[in-house]
Amino acid sequence: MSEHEKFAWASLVASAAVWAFFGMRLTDGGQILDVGVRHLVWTYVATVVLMAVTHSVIAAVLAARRRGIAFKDERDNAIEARADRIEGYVVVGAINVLVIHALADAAYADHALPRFDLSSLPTLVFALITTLFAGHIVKQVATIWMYRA
Amino acid sequence: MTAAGGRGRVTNRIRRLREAAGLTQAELAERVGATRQTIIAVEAEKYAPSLELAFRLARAFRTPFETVFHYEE
Repeated sequence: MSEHEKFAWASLVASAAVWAFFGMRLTDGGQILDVGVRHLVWTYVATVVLMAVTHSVIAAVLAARRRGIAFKDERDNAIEARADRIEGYVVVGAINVLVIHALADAAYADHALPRFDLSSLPTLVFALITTLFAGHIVKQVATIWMYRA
Repeated sequence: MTAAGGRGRVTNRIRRLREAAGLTQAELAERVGATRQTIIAVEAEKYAPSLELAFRLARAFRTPFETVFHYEE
């Protein structure tokens, strides 16, 4: 298994764990809680710090094991570029879903889509951060898949 | 990251040439500036190398390019 694939596996697990922490801070029983701004800011900062710390630790552990910087060749770069592109598609797709949902909410009060109020700050923060996590997680899955295909 | 794209397919004789030269995948990777995983993928024809890497591979075996790589329609 290449170093980059190992990093993708570790990043996948770490990102899922940090997203679970983020979700637990903002939801209860599948419902987004109406929390205050202080709680939101603390949760956001903690999530960013956790992502930075976990990924720094993963990179440091992998670097210590191989005693140096991982060499990246053309295949690694090609896989990374494709995974970045797929991540972009996911983020763009998710943002469009949010926009369509907001428009449907405004235009058709009795629409059949799942209900969530994007005018509420906790819901908006949850939706946007979850979109970023979804993009990142899909990128890691795509990276692993391409290394194994 | 497959070698097959469109109508044609790039095949290669890298495994045979490498074994004939008595090289390991890691040694060949070091000679051509690639990772061992990339050599494995190229040998398995799961990854079609760039023109630059393909020339470096041919040069590593001191053989003409077309002896190493073959394009099948």
